Amino acid sequence: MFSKLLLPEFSLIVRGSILGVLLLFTLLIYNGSLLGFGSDMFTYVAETTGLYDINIGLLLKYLTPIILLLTLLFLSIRRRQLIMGFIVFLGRYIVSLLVITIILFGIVIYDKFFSVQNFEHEVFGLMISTILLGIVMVFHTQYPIVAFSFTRVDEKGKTRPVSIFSKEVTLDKNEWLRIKIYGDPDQVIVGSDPESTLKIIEKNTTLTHSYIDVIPVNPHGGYLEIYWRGKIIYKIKCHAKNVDFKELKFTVYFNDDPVGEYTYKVESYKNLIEAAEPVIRAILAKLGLEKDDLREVQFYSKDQIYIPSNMRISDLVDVNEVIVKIYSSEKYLEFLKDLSRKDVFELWETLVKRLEVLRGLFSETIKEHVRIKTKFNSVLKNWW
Amino acid sequence: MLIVLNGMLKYLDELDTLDLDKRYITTHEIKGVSGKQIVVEDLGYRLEYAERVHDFHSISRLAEKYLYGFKPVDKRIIILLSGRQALDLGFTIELLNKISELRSFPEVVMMIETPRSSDNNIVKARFYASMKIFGLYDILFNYTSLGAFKYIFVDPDQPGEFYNYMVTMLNSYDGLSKCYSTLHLKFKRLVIPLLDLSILSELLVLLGKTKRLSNEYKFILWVMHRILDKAPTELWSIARKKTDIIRGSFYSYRELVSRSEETNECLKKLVMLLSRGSKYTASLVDPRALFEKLSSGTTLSNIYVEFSIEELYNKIKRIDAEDLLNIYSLGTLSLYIVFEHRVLVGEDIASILKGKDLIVLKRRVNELSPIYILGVPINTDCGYNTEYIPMDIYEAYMDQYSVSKNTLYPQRIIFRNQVLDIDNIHNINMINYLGYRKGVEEECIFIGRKTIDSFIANIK
Repeated sequence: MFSKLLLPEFSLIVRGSILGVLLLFTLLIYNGSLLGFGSDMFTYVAETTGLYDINIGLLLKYLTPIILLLTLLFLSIRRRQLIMGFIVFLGRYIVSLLVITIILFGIVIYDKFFSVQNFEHEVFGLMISTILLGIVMVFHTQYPIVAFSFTRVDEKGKTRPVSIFSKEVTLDKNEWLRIKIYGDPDQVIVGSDPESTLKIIEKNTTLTHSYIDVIPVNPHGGYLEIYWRGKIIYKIKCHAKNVDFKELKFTVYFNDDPVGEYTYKVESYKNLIEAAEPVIRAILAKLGLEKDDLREVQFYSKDQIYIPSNMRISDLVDVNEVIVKIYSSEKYLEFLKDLSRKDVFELWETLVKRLEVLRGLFSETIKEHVRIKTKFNSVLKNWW
Repeated sequence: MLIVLNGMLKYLDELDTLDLDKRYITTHEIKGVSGKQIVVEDLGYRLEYAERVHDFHSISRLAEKYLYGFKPVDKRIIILLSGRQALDLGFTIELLNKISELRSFPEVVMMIETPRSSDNNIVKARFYASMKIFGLYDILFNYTSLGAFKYIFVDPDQPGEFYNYMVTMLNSYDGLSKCYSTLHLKFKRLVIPLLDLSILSELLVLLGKTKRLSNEYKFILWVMHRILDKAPTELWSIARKKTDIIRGSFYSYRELVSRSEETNECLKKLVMLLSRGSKYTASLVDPRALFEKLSSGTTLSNIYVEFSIEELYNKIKRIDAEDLLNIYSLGTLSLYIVFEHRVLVGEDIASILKGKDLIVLKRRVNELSPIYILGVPINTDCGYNTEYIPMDIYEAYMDQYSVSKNTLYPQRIIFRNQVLDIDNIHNINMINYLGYRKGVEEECIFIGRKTIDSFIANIK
């Protein structure tokens, strides 16, 4: 975790330059000039073994690198972005060239061994090629083909670097954390712990890299976790400094009936729907409804102007009161088919009053019961 | 005067309400009673020990000590005692002793609770011995002045009201002085259940009212539920403020329901009593017919006219002795003399039935009960009512006498300065005044006649 090796400086630049040098060596070996064979590999094989004609050797000499270049470049850059795609291409290109070289060396050594000739020179070439192949394989497979860079971005798009080695990122007002991913974005998973303390905005892809924006939902923040191929790579504490709050008054209507008014402070970077979520949940709980019963939530300003639900709070200048209208399916209003709303309320009042009267009558009757019990007991004594 | 001995104080609640001069002979001081108390505190031994096995010597000494200076002076003295307790028996013998020394005898009426058949042999034996002594007292008292002594056996575990009733009857009936010796009572209490029927109607009305109320309550709750189910949400917040009322009403409703269940039980019991009656009491008239008349608005005097009290009286008078209830059922009664056949009536009916064979009961109303007062001659040797005191009690007595005769008798019986020895008493078989006279008349030979004769001769 927290490996410097996955920073773009190392993962891209250092690895890219090493691979570039290795490619130069490989091309030199392939061309035959590094080990003093005098001619390239395909021609050399044709000369020493006579497996094929020298003309075919010349043809293969030029065609093979070009065909490899075209196919591997296409395959590598198709799924990744430009920079990491190019590095992957470098690795694959070196590997395939070296494999061809080693096969050709093998053919020469085999031929010379059975015709009892000196093949010391070729074996040396084979060894060099194999070592090179090993080095490339390390860079290509063991070193994760991914790179992350962390920057903080403010509203105007200005970026500032972040040091991830303190394991903690403190964001200023209206800032968020941007994670640039070089490499296959499908193999990277970003999550937060505890859940929903951080808001993670969907991956965006540019030509050279893709990026993820992380916004702390509350000032207390949470841990940001980054996984690559199921392995945890980074765990960073992420919280916001100087969160901007705005006091909003939510007037809630349930199926056009006023239910209640709630006033509380909301973080200004939130959406309206996010800000109103606690209220909506509370109303649902109060009414004993499930979240599935909820069909529609609408927001209006005080002047009955519709507000889209994904509007940012910080963009809602001059709006201090929001009307939240919650709609559910209309199974609760059956009673009003026959009675008007006022009638129902009056009926309720009458029932409650009658209940109070009944309670009084109950206690009177209980007293009567007690009285008659004593009377009965005295009568019972008379029957012996 | 009413003298209640320790063993009968379990009926104190009912007896204390009687309008009489009352004396309680008790081992503990009782608080809040109207009668005077003689508290026998210094028993000198454990109470339960005394009740079961202790001999009469110490009891009679105690009785002498505690009854010193107590003068049973009244026209009629009613003594209630339990035949199961040594204390009761010993004190009663001492009381009789005291009474026998008076110049003129008062009328002594004793009600004796007999032991249970499951009781200890010692208890049974002591009871039998005491009955022998009472039989001798019976002869001596009644020979001196006829009607001065009478005693009645009563089954154990009677309802408390029974004694109240009986004492009222024994106290208020003047004709009782014509009865003497062992008496056997047969009676049945027949009442006109006016009060009971009025309470029945009250119960019915109350139960109906309760049912109506609870139905209305249920309906209101149902409607409320329905409204809340279908009403706009605004109502819910209003309803939430009224939860106290709804919950409170439910608590009182629940109490009402439990109360009405109790009342329902009362109703069932009352109906059962009216239709079947209890041990001694039954309804004189058909309660259903009476209830119909009452509920149709007839006045009470009209009801008396309609039921024709005189006719009822005649009907009751015609009831045979065999059909009535015995207050003593342990032994079998084979031979008896009818002393009295009367009707017990409440004060209200007494004025309607003037000049009939009545016993008027004070402070009682709406009653018309037949009663037979029978005289029981007992003479074992001549075979008069040998089973009146059951055989198992006699056997228990014989067993115990052979073991320890001292525990069964006081040292001596004194009657006007004459002393009867224990062996003499034992030798005379169970006999009472009626049995003695019948034996003499029929010239039957029985053991102890000589002793008794010489004793009587000495009194004169």
